[in-house]
Amino acid sequence: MEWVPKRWKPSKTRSPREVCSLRNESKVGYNLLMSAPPQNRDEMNENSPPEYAVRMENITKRFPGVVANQQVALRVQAGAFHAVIGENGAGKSTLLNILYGRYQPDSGRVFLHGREVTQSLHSPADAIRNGVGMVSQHYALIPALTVLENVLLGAEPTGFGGVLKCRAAITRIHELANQLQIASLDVNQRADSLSVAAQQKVEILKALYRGANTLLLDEPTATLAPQEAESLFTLLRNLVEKGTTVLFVTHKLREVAAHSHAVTVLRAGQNAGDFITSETNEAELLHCMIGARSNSAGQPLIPFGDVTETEGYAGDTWAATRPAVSGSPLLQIEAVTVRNSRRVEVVKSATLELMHGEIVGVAGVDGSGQRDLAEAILGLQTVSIGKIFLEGSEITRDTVAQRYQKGVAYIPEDRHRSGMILDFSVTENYTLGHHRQDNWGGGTLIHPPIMTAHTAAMIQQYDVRISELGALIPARSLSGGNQQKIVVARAMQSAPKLLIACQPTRGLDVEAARFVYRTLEQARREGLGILLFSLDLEEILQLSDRVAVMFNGRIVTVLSTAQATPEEIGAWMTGAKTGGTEA
Amino acid sequence: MGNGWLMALVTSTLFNATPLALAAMGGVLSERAGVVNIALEGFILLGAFVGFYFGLHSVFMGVLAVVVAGALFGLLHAFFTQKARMNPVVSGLGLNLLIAGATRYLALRLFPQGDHIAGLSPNLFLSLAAVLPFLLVFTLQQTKFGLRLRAVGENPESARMAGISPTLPRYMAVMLSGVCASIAGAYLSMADAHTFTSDMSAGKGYVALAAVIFGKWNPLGAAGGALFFGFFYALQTQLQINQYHLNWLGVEWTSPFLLDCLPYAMTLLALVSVIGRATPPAALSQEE
Repeated sequence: MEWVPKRWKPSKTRSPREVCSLRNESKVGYNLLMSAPPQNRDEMNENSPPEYAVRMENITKRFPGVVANQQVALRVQAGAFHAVIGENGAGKSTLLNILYGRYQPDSGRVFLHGREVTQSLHSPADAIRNGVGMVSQHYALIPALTVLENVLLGAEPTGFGGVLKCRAAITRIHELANQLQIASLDVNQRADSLSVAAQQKVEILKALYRGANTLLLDEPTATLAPQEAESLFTLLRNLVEKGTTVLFVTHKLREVAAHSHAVTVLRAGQNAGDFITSETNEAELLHCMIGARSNSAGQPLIPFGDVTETEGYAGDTWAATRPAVSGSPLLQIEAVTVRNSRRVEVVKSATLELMHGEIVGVAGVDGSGQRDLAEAILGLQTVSIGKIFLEGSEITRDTVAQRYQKGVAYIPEDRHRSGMILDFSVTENYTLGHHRQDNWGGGTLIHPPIMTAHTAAMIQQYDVRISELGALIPARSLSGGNQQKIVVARAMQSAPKLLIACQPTRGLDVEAARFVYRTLEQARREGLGILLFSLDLEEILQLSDRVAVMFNGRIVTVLSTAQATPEEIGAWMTGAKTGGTEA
Repeated sequence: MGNGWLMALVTSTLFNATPLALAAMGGVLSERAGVVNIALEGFILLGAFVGFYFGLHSVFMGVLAVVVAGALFGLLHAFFTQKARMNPVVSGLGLNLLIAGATRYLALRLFPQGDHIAGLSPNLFLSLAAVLPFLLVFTLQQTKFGLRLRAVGENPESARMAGISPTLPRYMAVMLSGVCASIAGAYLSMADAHTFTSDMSAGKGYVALAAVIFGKWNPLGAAGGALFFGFFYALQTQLQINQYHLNWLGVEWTSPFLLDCLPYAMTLLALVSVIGRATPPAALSQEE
């Protein structure tokens, strides 16, 4: 972090630190910031205009009901390793997507290497032409195509009649793979046979193949094991040394501190500060990121592992309140094997026990079988071999409804797809799954007055922010945090014994995430057993009493809190370590 | 009977498979690009009508008209599904109903007494149906157009991220799909029946679609599927011609009415057996 951008210096008249605190203290200062600094900086640098690989000015982007970016400025020095941080919903991805031509800004200007491209940036194709490459979080490689086809797609070398000419391209791809230190890349492999980490590297390769000099990465480490993330950053740093500009979006402060040269902080769709990494620290960045919502003692209300060490937030406090784990197991999973619709074993002989009042975290690289295991416990997928017991009685063949009846509750990982029916009202969503119960009226008919009463109580209890129209509006119109409150409230409504929580804080801002953590913690104290499936290692480490790690469909180990370090878990997650406590 | 019967069955299978295979290639093109195309049925009928009507004047005109009409109606389906964002099943159904009604009406207006054309040799269509699957495999696997078509069919958003617009490959694919299916229809009127009767496609478009699924969206597989279903069309015809009788449990199983169901019943059975094992192009199952 000794690297300091040579020409880009923060404004002397107002340091980023001041900028940030100004914003928190007064609206006036904040307004000043929004209008003044860009000009200031330009004036200051008049003599030696800095070379920005990316310059975005006054970017405003509205989506129906939200302003994703409001007058946002972003300046990335050529050859820099630049981070954009902010909470979920702060507008980071939107900004990146504007730069990549996927979205058109409502107003504002975009410059690449000093040349204005605002008018010509209408699609990713335009961005690629201008030397911008993107590694996206969701729309990565096309699984059914080979590595070669994925790399060539959109930049195909062709001969007569549009026939592909691959030979030269393959040579070039191998050259690039060597440069990127991607070992043994088989270009004829299907993309989905690669690990997530390898796919990401292929995406970088793909961008470089098109001659990208600016690389955008959207939450690149969200689904990686720690070691994989480390290896990715090493690769990126090598690229930066060779002159590529790297711009990455993250909410993990530790990555920012360890790897970036400069940081732009966004909060609620607006600029909250610009920093040079070597001149700041995690606490300051965090403060800037979440702003006025940090509590009065200056201790941020934040469930990030990054902060845990310095703030002492989780570990001790929660460990102290842990109830004695009672003797008989709540949930027993015995050598469970699950096959998917194509008869492939996605969970292989998984064995796990969960006690009352215990949180067991299930870690693993995305797609290691976590989802299938969760769904098998709930009854959404059929168990091929093995048995599942709840409080000693077998539930392997029970229907989902029977399992709910027996005290299983579920927080699905994707609240939009399986957590809610977005066009149903809040009341209807909250009722789903409970409609058969006697205290909801029972019988064949649904009972709107009872539903309304229950929902009103829930809205009160969980502090769901809802418009004047009340609980009859479609769930779609609620913010992600409020939707998740309803999903969590619904799971807790029937006083369950076992909670299966899948990525319960995915896409939530810090406040909403904290709410979920509080609810889980509270529930555990009351004796609930919780199986927490998450891709976020920090989350798992903070909440869990024990950590089970899945790799390639197997539960490869179960670690105690003392053993569970990110490195240790990472080693199991990636298959570097094998053959542990599994029977 | 004996050998002669077998030869007749084989020949009949090939010629029954010809329109199915041609239409199935259309299905592969469209569906691999991510556009569900139940309009194959309508396109076949369209090809049959247009081929017959224009073929009355000259065979060349007939063929030209078939290709142009297929491309135009393919374009229409592409426009409805891509530009107007209509559900492809609704668009396909609409086109099928429109074409069925329009051709019936026009046939009554233009040649109420029926008519007859010399048309073309069935062997021509058979050769095309034999070559086209291989040509299509090559196109899909080895050309830029094929690669983009598959990419767009798997994940249009990823394709867009890679810098290509999904629009062009999809329009091209659906138009070509229309051409293939209407050539299949031209076979029916110009080479097989030498006349046009309303609704003469008789569900062949849907059976072709089944062949596509049966062949797992692969051109050669789909051609195989067409042969498989073609066999049952042939079998049904041969059984009727030979007046073979099977009376079992008091049911006349070889009654023409039941035999007519045979290909369709087999289609259903075949599909049930592949369901769950076939992986369609990813974008097909996505609601946009």
